[in-house]
Formats: sequence, C-alpha cells, structure tokens
Amino acid sequence: MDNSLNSGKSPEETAVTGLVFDIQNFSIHDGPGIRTTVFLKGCPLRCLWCHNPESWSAKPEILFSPEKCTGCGKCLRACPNGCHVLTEGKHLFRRDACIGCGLCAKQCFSGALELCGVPRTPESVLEQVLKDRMFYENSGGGLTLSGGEPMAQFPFSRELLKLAKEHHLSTAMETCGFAPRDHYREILPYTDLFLFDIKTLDPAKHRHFTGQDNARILENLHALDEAGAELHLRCPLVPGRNDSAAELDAIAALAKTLSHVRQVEVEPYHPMGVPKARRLGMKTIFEAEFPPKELPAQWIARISSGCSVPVIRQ
Amino acid sequence: MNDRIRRMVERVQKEELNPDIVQVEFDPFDEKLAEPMMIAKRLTEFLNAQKPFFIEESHLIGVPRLSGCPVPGDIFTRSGHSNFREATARYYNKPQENLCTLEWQHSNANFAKVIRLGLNGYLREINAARKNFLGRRDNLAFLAALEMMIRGISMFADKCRGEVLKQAKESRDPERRQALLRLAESCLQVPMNPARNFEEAVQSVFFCFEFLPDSIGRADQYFYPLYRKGIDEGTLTRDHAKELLQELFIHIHAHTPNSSCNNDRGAESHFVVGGYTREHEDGYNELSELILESMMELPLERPQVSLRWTNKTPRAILRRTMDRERHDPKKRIAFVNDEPRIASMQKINHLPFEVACDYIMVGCNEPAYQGGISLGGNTCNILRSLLNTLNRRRSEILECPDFDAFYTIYEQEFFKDLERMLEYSNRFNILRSRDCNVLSSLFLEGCIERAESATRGGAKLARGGGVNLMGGTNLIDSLTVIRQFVYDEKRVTLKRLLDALDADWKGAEDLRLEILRDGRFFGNHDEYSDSIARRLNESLYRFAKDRTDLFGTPLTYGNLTGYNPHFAFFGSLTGATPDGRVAGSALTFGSGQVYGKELNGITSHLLSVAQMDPTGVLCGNTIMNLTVDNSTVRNEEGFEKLVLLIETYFKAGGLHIQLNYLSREELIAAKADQEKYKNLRVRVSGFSATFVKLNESLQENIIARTSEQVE
Repeated sequence: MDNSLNSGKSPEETAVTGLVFDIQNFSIHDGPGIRTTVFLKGCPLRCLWCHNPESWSAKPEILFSPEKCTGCGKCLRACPNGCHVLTEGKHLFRRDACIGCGLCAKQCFSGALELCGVPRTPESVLEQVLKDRMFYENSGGGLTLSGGEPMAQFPFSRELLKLAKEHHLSTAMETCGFAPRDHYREILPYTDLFLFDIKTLDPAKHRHFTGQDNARILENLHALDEAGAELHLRCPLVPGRNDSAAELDAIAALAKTLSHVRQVEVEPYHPMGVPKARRLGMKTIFEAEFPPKELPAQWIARISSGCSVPVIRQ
Repeated sequence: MNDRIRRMVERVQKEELNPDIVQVEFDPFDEKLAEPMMIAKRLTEFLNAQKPFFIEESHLIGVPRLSGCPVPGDIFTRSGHSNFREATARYYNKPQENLCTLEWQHSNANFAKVIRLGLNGYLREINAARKNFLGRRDNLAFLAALEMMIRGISMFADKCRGEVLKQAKESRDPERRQALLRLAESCLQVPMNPARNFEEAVQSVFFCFEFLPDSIGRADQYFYPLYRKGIDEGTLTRDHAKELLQELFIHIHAHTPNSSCNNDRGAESHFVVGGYTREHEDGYNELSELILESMMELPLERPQVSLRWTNKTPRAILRRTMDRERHDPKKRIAFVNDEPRIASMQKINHLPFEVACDYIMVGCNEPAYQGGISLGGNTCNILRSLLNTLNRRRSEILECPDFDAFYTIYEQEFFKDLERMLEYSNRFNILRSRDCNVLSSLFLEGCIERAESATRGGAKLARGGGVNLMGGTNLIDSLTVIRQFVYDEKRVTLKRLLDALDADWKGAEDLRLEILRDGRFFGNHDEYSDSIARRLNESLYRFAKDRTDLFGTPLTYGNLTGYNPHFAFFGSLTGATPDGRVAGSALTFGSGQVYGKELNGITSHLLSVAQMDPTGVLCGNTIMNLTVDNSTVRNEEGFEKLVLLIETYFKAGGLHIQLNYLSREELIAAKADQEKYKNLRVRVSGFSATFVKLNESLQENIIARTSEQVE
C-alpha cells in the first residue's frame, strides 16, 4: 500500500487547511474501537451547555488563565495590538482587539496564555492520526471528526475524510446536523458513521437552547438515513432543561422512525465547559445540576422503552 | 469459598498461624564438621524440633516458617545467613556514592521437579553427582550435607504424618477423620516420592514451601497433568481442587507475619499463570482459570500473580483476567508479555526456548526461573552519570559542536557508572558467598550438579546483574532537552543551561518553564525523544553484551523500585537536571507516567514504551504503571476498549503493564482523609499496597503520575 501522504495531490488540493484545536487519541466514546478524535473550530450553534465553548468561533483565540500569570511582561512586548496591559500587578487582556495571532502565547511559558486553534493541512493531521494505526487495526477503530462542527470547515473535513479512506481508516463524524445538505451528500462515501446530535426535538426549545431552528437538522438527518448512512443519535441531556418525558419519548420515536440508527447515546451534562468559558472571557456562563446521579439511568430506561436499538450512556 | 476456608481466612487475618519457633541447643562439637555438614546437621535438628504448620480444619500440613533459625535456613529471608546480614546492615537501603544500594533478592524452588521426582529422586541425583567430584572434599561434603538435609526433611514428613494420624484418631467428626486419613496417606508418599494425584501434588508444595518461601512458579503448568487426570478419572472435583489451592494460598499468605512492615505489601510471593509451553502453545488452561478464581475469592494481599500473555493468548482470556483485576480490591494481578521477554532471555541470557519459556515473575515484577536465583536486583541512580558529564567533563562538553559529540562523552560517563554498579553487585555477592546455604540450594537447579551452595555460584539458572535504574526517564528527557534546546533549535547555549542548573534554576525560571512547555519529552511517540531512548538502551546493550557478573551470569537491567523509595532518596542527593527537574526532587522510576509530560495521551505513551528497547537489554525488572481514569471504564464499552488498548500495547512489543483505576481527586482526598480511604489499594512499583500506609514520597509520586488525560 502506498503510504505517502501527498501522492497525486495537486498543490491546490493540499493547500486546504483546517483550524484544529485538539487531537485526542484513545477516544473511546466517539464510535467503534479505539479512535483518534480531531476537534475543529467553528460551530453554527450556541448551545447553552456547550462543553467546548472554545470551538464556537472559527478563528484562533487566546485562552487566558490570569492565575497562572507570573507577570513577566513578555506578552506586552510580543503583542502587535497592545492587547495585554499590566497595571498594579494585574494582567488585563483586551480580547476585543485580539486578532488571534498567538505571538503572546508563544512567549508565555507559564501557560497563562494559550492559543486555541492551529491551522493544519489534512495531510499533517492524517500523519498524526496514522501513528495509532496499530490500535485502530486491533480494535476496529479509526478517525472521528468533531468540534465545533466539522461541517463548518467543509473543504478541510472532506479532504481529511477522503484521505483517511485512501488509507483504509474507519471514519466517523460527530455533527450537529446544521449544514448544507449537499455537503453531507458529498462526504457520505468517505464517512462510515455519523454521530448525529439531537439536542431536543421541540423546535421552540431548540431555538432557545442553541440559537437555531432544528428543521434543517432533522431534514439532514432523514436525508442521511434515506441515503443509508450509519447513524448514532447523540443526545446531550441537561437535567431540567431538555430531559422531559415528552422529549425523551420523542427521541425514542425518532430512533424508531429511522432505518439506520444503530444506537442512541445519552450524554449527561457535565460542567467541563465552565473553566474554558472563563478562560475565553465569556460574560454569562451556564451551569446546571451536576452530577446528575440516578437521572441517566432513568433517561436510558425511558428512551429504551420506546425504541428497539441499544441506548447507552457516553 | 466454602465455610471451612472462610474460617481459615478469618484466622490468618487476625492471628499468627505459624507456630512459635522452638530453639535448640546445638552440640558445640558440630563446629568441627565441614561447614555444610554442620549446617545440615543443625538444621535437621532444628527442623525436627519445630511444630508442623497445621491449622485447625486444614487438609494440608507442612513445614512452619523457619525465620529465627540460627543456622542458614531459607535463602529468601536469609534467616541465619550471617554474612549477608552484615552486607545488608552496611548497604541495604543506604545509597553508596549516590549510585548504588543493595536491594532484595529472590530465589525460587523448582516445585515442578519436587512433584515429578520426589526427594528420593534428588537423592539419586546426589549420588550420580558424587562421581564427578571424587577427591574434592568440599564438594563431597556439600553433597553429603544435601543428603543429610533430605533425610532430615523425611523425618519431619514422618512427624507430620504422626500428628495427622493422632488427630484423626481423636476426631469425632467422621468427615474430618476421613480427610485426615487421606492426608496421612499423602504424607506417606510426598514429598519423598512423586505425587500420584492432584491432592498429593498440592500437599508436596505446601509441605516444602517454607524451604524457599518465595514464588511457587508456574503452578498452573506443573499441577495441570495431575489435575486433568483427577478430573477425567472422576477422582477430583473442581471444588475440591479449589479448596486445596486456597489452603495453599493461605499458607503462603501466612508466611509474612501480620506484624511485619511488609504485611501490607503483596510482593513477597508472586507467581504466574499462562505463557508459552515448550511446544510453543499458549499454556493458559482450565487450572490457570481455577487458580485465579480461587485467589480472587480470598480477601488476602498475597500471593500476587502475573498473567503471561503470548501472541496466541485468546482475547477472551486477557479480557477475563483484566476484568478480575479491575474488580480485585487487593490489586494482585499484573500482565507481562512473553514475546519480548523470551526473546531477550534467548538473546541476552543465551537460554534455549525450552528453558526460557519456563520463566516466572517474582517479587516486585522481576523475571526469574523456577529453580533459579536472581542475583543483583540492586537499585542504582542512572542520572548521576549525566551530572558527572555536566560537571566533571564541563570544559570538554562546552567544546562539542553537535549532540553526537556530546553523547560520545556522555556515554563514557554512562559506562563508568555501569561499571561501578557492577563492581558493587559483585561486592555484595562476594559478601554473600561467604555464607553456605544447604536447605534452599537443594531446591535450586544446578546446586546438586555443581555440588556448590547457591550463594557460591551453585545455581545455574541465574538472573544476573539485575540492576534497577532509577531516573531513566529523567535521563532520556534531559538528553532530549540538550539536543533540542542547545544543538538543534539553539534556544539556549549549553553554558547558559549549565549555569541555570548550577543555580538550581534560580534566575532562570523562564528557561525552565520554556523547557517544560516545549520539551519533546519521552512518552509522546515522538521519534525525537524515542530515538534517544533507543540510543541509550543500545549503549546499555553494548556495555552489557558478552559481559557477566562474577558468577558468569549475563547482565540485564530494569527500572523498578523495590519496597524502599530509592527514587526519592537518590533524588534528594541529585542536583537539578536539564529536563526541568529541580535539585533534590525525586527521580522517575518505571516506564510509567511522568508528571504530565505525556501530552499526546495514552496510546502515544504506550507506543513509546513498547518500542524503546529493541535489543531487549531492559528486559530485566522493568515495569510500566498505567493509571487509568475511572471514567474510562464507567461503561462496559470503555472497558472493552481498554482491553484492546493493552492487547495492542503487547502486540507492539510492550513488556509489562499494571493498572490503577483512579482519579487524581480521589488520591488527593485519600491523602487528606486517611480514615475514609483506609482500604484503597494501589499498584506502586512492583507491588501493591494500601495507599494511606505508603510514605509520603510514594503517595506524591502516585498522585503525580495520575494525570494521563483520557477521553
């Protein structure tokens, strides 16, 4: 097998880059087997409870942890826009003027400033992903794209999935479903599994929680199902927000209607996004009841009773 | 476990089951005898003055713990070995030159042979050996001593039988009387003759265990033929076999007194299941399964066991054993890979496959042989060689044009220290060779054939050198930093880096943080540092190749820390190092996690470790601790994937792994609230122990390495 990553690519094709904010190996909750998940920046939704708020913006951003600042002042000199100010021993960061160039973070050895989002080519990402090939082959795992919303960086995601398939990797994509239908059609041949997010099936609530209507999302879901795509429905459930009996029943009914849903995954809310939201300087930060205690078992039982596919906790 | 076993377990947990030692007045004229004869005579008298180890309701009887015996008795606890005691007093746990200490050593009886031949078979071997030593008084005296020892053991077996018959006569319970009569019959057969059935085989090992109270070796292999026979013929039930095994384990557990500081630590008796057979098949069998099941039912810390994995081990067996392991509150199971281990034993120890395939795991995860002795096992500070390079060879290294030139100088210092470690190992063994051991030598391969005490080179299946290198990962990371920051990226001059180390990073805090942030450290499956790890191991191989210790045993190396926190006390004497380590802080041990330097996650870390030693020179006491966040296995799917992770690690060449399922928060809480977490057991180095009973440096070490980001 030809393992070279640039074989037969014209310079234009390899010029595509994506903004990657994390690559995690030994991902065990993102599809079958042992996988590597590539997290891409940019998302059309603004879910209240999002645990990856650093993925919303499609641009590089600075994560700022003032408690780690040693006051060395290197960032002041590095920043071309004067975003960093030290007054009375306090480090102020003017995020509005920040262009995400990352020059300050490069100088910040204490880790107070970190750049989130690095442009990468599909080839360089795949090269990193392929390092764990032994684990995929032994476990039936592979590559998962996540984010943010991978479809928000469609050209990059398409290239990466295509490349992965050329290297005979299993591929999966976690998606919120909010993207042009043609785009899904285009990546379908390179995508073995969709981890399709269902936040709520109540349109008004969906708008309230995510900032977007869910009609388009559901259209895409049905279209993928009709096209024969393998689907897992992924349901982030937040106590008291989107876990009413009616909503759980609607999820079960949806799973029942579709032909290619193999599994329903319940993702109980966790507050991992809170510290990241703080480091992004977000004004309003959502917090819900945690840990959810016995609720997930109840959710699973309720959904299970209404559909025939396995319902598991992730 | 049945009620009888449950009552025995309760007893062993709270009482001392070994009878008190009865002291004996020896005839002073014994001293006129040749040394081994005197030892054998006195030992025989001593042994026969003792009460048997025979617990109420037991179906097995044996020799009690001989600790406190004034003449050299068992070689493992070194009871009566006066010269070795002196060596221990001088060197054990006392770092010499901030380089070496003397550590625990192991010897393992060949119980397979005891079962197969019986001690009468040993007498025949002794007779046969005599004609090779005609006219050599010392050797003949040693052989005569072995013979006398066997006669003494036979007497004690008779004594045991007498005791059993007496109790049978007194017993009013017909069932109990029946069991005792069966035991009396066994005592007539074993250990003097070959075991004829499973019951006798277990009785034979039970009886002999205290002659060398260490590992019972490949029990699932040597017991298996008689187990199979009994089951097939309908003379043995699985339940009865389980009871017998459980009694054996209780006996093994009882060897370490409840009052001992080692009582909590499970490594004093460690054995194996599975692994290659001589026919090159995977040896895991029904009895391996029964052994693990029997052990896991007992809420006891000892014995510990390793599953020997082979390329032919079915996934279901690895899965089942890992499942047992994760549910075992006593943390008794570790996992080793036969492929690299046997390959290295063939290549480095020059053993044929048929011998190498019978290797076992003992103590703190140390490879050994049935009927073999592990010399050395000394713990050494490998980081000292780097500091010697930086300090004593400073003017030379400052002139180095590139990393290769630097490494050439480093390698000279590395070899100097390796040489010095070997000198120390040999010195310990010379002190040890002043003692003559008759009793344990009988059970070690080669001592009859060579007519020589195991302490004096009699044992032919030896693991030599066995040096445990502390600070291995510090060394790889430090060399990586020098190559990366000084020579390749030219971020800092060597002069400035050395100044920073001299000042223990004072005034160079930024440089240290930059190194910690950007260093391409080991454990990230990064060819940059992985290649340095391999280069070091290749240097080590070149040093060790074709060299032996004073007994002619090839050298192997490892990286575990024993019962003592050597990594902490070497660290306290070791200055700052280029990997960002501050002066006085603990060194790394094992190939496990290092304070969050493995940023690329668990798979990268495992691949770095699996591929770091192509020569196999580090196939000695090498351990890999992996702490897995509890959340990984919160559902069965996660656990299945963990099994696949470990299996892939082994397929990639990983040598050893043991797991902790913990969260960092849990450990920090345990350190603060000892009462609440008093039962929390963790894998430490080669052993497992109760977390709150560990000293602070070990607690800190475990907390620090529990940072692998999973998910």
